[in-house]
Amino acid sequence: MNITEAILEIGLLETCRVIARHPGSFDSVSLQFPEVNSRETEERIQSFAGWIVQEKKELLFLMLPELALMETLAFSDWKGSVIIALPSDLDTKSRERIFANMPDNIRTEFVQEGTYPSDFRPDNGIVLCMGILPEGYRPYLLPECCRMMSLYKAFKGRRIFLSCFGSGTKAPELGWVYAEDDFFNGYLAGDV
Amino acid sequence: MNGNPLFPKQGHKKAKDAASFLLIAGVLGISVLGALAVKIPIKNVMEIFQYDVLIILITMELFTNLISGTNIMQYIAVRLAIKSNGSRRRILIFFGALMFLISPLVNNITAVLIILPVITVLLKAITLDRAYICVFFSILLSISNTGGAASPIGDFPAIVIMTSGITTFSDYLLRAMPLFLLTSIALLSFWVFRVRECIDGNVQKLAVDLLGTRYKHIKVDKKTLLGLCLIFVGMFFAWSLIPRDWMPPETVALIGYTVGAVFSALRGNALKLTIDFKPILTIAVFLFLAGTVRSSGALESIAQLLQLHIQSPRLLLLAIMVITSIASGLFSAGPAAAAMMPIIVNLCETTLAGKAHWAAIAYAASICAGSSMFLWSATAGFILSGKVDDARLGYCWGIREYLKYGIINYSIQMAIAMAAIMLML
Repeated sequence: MNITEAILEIGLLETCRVIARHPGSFDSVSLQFPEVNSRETEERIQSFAGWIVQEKKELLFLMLPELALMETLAFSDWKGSVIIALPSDLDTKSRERIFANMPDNIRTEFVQEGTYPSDFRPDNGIVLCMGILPEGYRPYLLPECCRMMSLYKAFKGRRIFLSCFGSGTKAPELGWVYAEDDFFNGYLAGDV
Repeated sequence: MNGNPLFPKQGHKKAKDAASFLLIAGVLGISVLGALAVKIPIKNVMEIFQYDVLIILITMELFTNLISGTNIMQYIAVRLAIKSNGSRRRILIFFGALMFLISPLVNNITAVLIILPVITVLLKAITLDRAYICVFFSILLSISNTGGAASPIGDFPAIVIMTSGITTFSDYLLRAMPLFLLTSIALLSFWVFRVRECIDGNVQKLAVDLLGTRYKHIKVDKKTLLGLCLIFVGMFFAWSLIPRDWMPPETVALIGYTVGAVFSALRGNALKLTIDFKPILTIAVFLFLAGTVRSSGALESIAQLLQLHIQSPRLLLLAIMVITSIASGLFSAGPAAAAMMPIIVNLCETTLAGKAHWAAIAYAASICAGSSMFLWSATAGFILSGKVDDARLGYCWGIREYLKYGIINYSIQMAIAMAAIMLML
């Protein structure tokens, strides 16, 4: 099973949520995805959403369509918009599914990889990218996110890496790559 | 090996397109040259050209666009995928059943294209092997044929029958639906017990859960759907009750689509007016070929020859069924349907007068069985094969892979159809 395809359509946090519901499948997906826990995942989503609300930025620029985060933000006090970057090699059917699968009560906009969102500035926006932070290593991202971050690292505002797993998580062997040092200027650990 | 994912098989696709258009050009060329050779004015051919078939095909395809715009098809397909819980047998049964429900309403190509996106996501997620891929897509293709033949608007041969006047909408539907439902159940029952379940059920369940999440916020536009359903029911009644001399079926289709489009637009939906014109063009040239052959009078001679040598109407019909099914298998459903129709019409007016309704069913069943014989025989065959390639499921599914399954499906369909005709006639 290719977990990456699901992550690209529903985001890393939602994938964690789904995989945590099937502990019996951990062994089968362990090469691509670290072990996750339902309670910790939910707490992490709440904590990230709380942090975003506190940041008071109008625009969130996400490298993945993080359904779980958007659903939580939709029911919070946050009144901003989400911009989602879509990898240029994402197939048409996946794109159509992503467009149609956005939660209600939240404004979303999509930009093609390499396109810079309009009116997105350091004072009103923030770049967020989800991944894994194995202990003692650099952030671990999907290759698509890594490629997009290499383009959007030019953004002068805040570029934050959010770790969707606790510290010391064993890095999966397949489908992930290390981020460059200059991709992010802030980190949010996934410890809850 | 599926090739470089960065460069999907563009060349392969272009070659298939070139082959399709070469076929279209070839058939058109042969028809025109044939007509000129036997001194048939092209105007005469165009006077008997069945424009009505094309109008129904196009309008029904556009009506399907309106229905699929409500997301109902995706919704049903995803619900079924979730209900299957990743079980290979249940996936086969559910999607086979869904295909049978969709195919009578839309043409085979559209039916395949509607449910394929969900199927490819589901199949990519569960553990697959070559045998399952072959069984799954073979059954899908055969049921798209049986489903299409189950109603007078389901596919090209059925539309040709409806517009020919040898039977009525309701007479066809009442006879064809039970027969093709039985055939579909037989096909599914035959294959479902040959499918082995995957050992790791946990992974299958995870796969289905992930699939459900990829569609969890997709909503069905219930009000638009309800309105379109009512319009469709109205069309159904109009086809069944209004005499075709007073209002022909294509006019009903046209009015139904126009009302549906206005209603959909008023509900604020964007109208999708794009359709794949390749199959329409293919059918148009085959109708032109059929018109040319019909104008030559050759088919009447063949019909008379058959009537001369086979006295029993029952045996005559069985012989025609075998010939039609082989023609459909070798030359595909479109040309076989167009070429054999004048013979059937001729027989229905002479030897088989009084049994015309069953003759129409026998003809549809043999076209349908023949369509399942080879990959190229079915209207949706190459399209389905191309989509399976594009989906990169890890296995190819083409002419060679389909052959064994196609022959078995053909045999099952023909056996049931011939038994039913023997019983009913």
